[in-house]
Amino acid sequence: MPKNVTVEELKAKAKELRINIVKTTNYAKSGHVGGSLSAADMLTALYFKFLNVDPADPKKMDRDRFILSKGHSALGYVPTLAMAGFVPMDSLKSFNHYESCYGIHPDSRKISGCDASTGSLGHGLPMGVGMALGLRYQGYKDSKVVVLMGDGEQNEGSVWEGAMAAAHYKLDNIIAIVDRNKLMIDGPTEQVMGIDPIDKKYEAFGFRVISCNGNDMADVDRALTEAWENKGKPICIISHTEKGFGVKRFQGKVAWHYGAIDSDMLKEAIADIEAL
Amino acid sequence: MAEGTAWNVYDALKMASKEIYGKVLTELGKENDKIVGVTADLAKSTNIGNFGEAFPERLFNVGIAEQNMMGVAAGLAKTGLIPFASTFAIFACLRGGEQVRSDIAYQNLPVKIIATHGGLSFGASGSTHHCTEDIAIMRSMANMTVVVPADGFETAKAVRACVKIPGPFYMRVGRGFEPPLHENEDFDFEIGKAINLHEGKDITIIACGVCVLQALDAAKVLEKENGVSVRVLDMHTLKPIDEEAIMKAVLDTRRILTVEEHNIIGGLGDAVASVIAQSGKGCAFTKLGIPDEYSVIGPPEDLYARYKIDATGIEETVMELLGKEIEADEDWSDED
Amino acid sequence: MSKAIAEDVLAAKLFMRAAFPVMRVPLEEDPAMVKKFANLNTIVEFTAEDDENPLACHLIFLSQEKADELLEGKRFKVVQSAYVASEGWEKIQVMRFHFKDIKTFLGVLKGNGIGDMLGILPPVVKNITKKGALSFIFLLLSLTKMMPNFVPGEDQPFQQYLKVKMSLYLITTAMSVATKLGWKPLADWTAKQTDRVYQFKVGPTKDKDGKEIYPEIGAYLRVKFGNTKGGRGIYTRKSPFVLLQFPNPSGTLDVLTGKYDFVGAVSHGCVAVIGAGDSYAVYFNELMTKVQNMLIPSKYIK
Repeated sequence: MPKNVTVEELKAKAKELRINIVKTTNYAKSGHVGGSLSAADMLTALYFKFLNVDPADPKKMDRDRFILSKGHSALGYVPTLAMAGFVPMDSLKSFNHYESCYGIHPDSRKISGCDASTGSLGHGLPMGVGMALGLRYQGYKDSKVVVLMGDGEQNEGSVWEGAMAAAHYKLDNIIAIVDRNKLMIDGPTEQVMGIDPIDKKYEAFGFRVISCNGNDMADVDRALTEAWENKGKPICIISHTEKGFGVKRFQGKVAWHYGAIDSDMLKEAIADIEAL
Repeated sequence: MAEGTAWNVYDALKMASKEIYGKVLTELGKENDKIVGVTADLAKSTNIGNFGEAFPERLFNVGIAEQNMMGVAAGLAKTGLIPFASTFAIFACLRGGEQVRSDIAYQNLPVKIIATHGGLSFGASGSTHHCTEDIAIMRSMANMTVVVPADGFETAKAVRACVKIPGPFYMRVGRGFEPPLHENEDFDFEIGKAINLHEGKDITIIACGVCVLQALDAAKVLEKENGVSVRVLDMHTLKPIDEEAIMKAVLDTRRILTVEEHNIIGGLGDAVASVIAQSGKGCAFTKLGIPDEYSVIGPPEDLYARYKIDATGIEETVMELLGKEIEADEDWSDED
Repeated sequence: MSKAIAEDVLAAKLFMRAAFPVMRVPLEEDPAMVKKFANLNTIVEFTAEDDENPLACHLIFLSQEKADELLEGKRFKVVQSAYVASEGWEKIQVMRFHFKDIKTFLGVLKGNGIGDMLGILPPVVKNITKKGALSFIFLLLSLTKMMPNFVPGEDQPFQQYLKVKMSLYLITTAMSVATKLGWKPLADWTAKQTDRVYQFKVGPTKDKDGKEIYPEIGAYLRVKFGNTKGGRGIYTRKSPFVLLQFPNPSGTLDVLTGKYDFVGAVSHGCVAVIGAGDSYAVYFNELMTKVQNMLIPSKYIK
């Protein structure tokens, strides 16, 4: 059951998360900052309102599962977990350092609260299908499986294998989210390998599809609420976002898929975020 | 026609590796409700369908989508279940290979991959359905246990044993018509321990899978007709490989011949060679297998003969290695 | 004289080389036959005239005493040639069964009706006064146990045992001989095969208490690059390439009499096929049936 948290509270948390993201990028020297910032609102809403998870009991069987299928956004995900109490805030300083628990992609064996090790794109939805089937078979009817994917990731065939299976097995406990920030490494998604109309594609694959402005917390809240009440077939949220949202220098820039943040840039970034 | 208990021996003998797998898995499924199955439209061909018939809500067919299959298996394992994933060997290790490595092996999940139609056992279907690379690929994945059982009885024991392994497991069997090596289930089988089937001092043949029976046949003929004393090691576990048995064979017999239904690159031969080379001990060493090529088509038995991994080929190779002429049975008179 | 067609020549040769030797089974194991032949010493010669392929063979029956003296202890032997008495054999009686052509010879052995069987009368009449003539006719008739219309039930375990043993001995030798005579289907099929053994194995007959009353039966066909051998018992030098395993003679008969076709038999559990089941075993069975069909009255061929 989603907790009772207001949109204003979530907005504040999202700001905090963004600051932690750019700080962590600074600790790590560089990172996938664009995609982490674009998904920050979604991550906040999930971990501070919607997901039934408990940092004191990270492996409880009836919890909701979250799979960061766009694993390279660990830079956004790990700070979220830290803020939610799964890992110490202090530990973020070791991000990407030798023998750290945190690298560019999350390692489920090393991060408390992380349900799946991801990194290679296209693996999240199939694993999510497996989890959803396993939960249903063992009677955890209320547990959700949320899979956050990138839009470039939609090129991978295995995503569609997973989607086909999710619909076939009527897995309405699956919530797929596509972080539609419209950019990938080599350029805009529609120039490199177009995925539109992505919403029609998921519909054709048997999903119920809703859209939202992924960087407007009120809209994110509305979409997730609908998703949590969804029944009958799996649901996919197309979350329209802006890559690098929150830091003016990064916003909408292909180049800021991955970048380095030095101390000057860090000050600038924090200022931008606080002004949101 | 009498049916019932009188037929048990014949039932067991009739069942080759693939069928026993389905039957044993179903039994395990009755004992342990955490066991589930996943397949990619190959429930019938791999016999995991038997399990599916007994427990329809526990066999998940993902259709012809092997990457999804392995991802789903990983997801199921994450919720505390023990998934048995079955498809043809080539698809298990290559098509879904990245998922096997990154979702299953990397996260050290208890997924049991039972790959059927390994080696050249799918003869006439050609190289796209053969798999002479799987041992090489699976051995190189950390956390993976790799077993290639010699017959249906070993398959049954391996299936039971693998449930106790906490991490991932890969087992390769044939297409289901392999003759039995053992007479029944009364023999010791331990993952990681080679079975010495035939004692000998002149040369050791180390084999896995269908080649084990061939090696044993060859050893018996070599001893009886040619006076050559051959040790035969059934190396059913490729990883972790029984280094002790290998080194004992090196020291006792000084000649090693490996036989496998796999490319000579990266399989049993190379695994054994690695152990020997690292030990610093010298010995004569030869590998029999598929010589790094894509096979012609044909009934698998003909292919085994072609690549000398059948009894005759092994006999000839051993005699060549020892510099002797083979004493063939050339009595072609019909008996009374 | 006449000229027989190739098919008939082949069939006649198969009778002489594969079927006649099978008489050894009832001769040695049927108590009635053992009694009849205990003290009989005779040669029975079979000849059939033909323009191109005249055929001749002779069967040697000796008492134990004579066998030890003349044939190194062997009491029964089939020789593929006309009989000429050699030194020491002058006193041994000879019965000559002469047939005016191969067709008549075959008519006796696999004729469709009583008319064909009548071909046996002239030779029988000619030899009727010879000692043991009738005994021999009975022995010859025992070959008919292998015909499809003789189906002993579970209440006749000995007949079942005899029929199965004779049939398996016949078929393995017949397939080997047919190959040696160049019969194309088998010659082609064996030409490229490496050293392989096609083994029949029938479990012992047991009484209702589980005690064994008749022993296990084994017969095999070995092939290697066109060479063939019909063998007895279990080939021990290597594992069989295909093992056709039957639980007991009763089960074997269901397959041999065609109650089930091969695939049906396997799925009913009448026969366990161990080895190259899906390829070589099936074709082996087809060839076996073809050879069998050469030796039975045409009215039984489906």
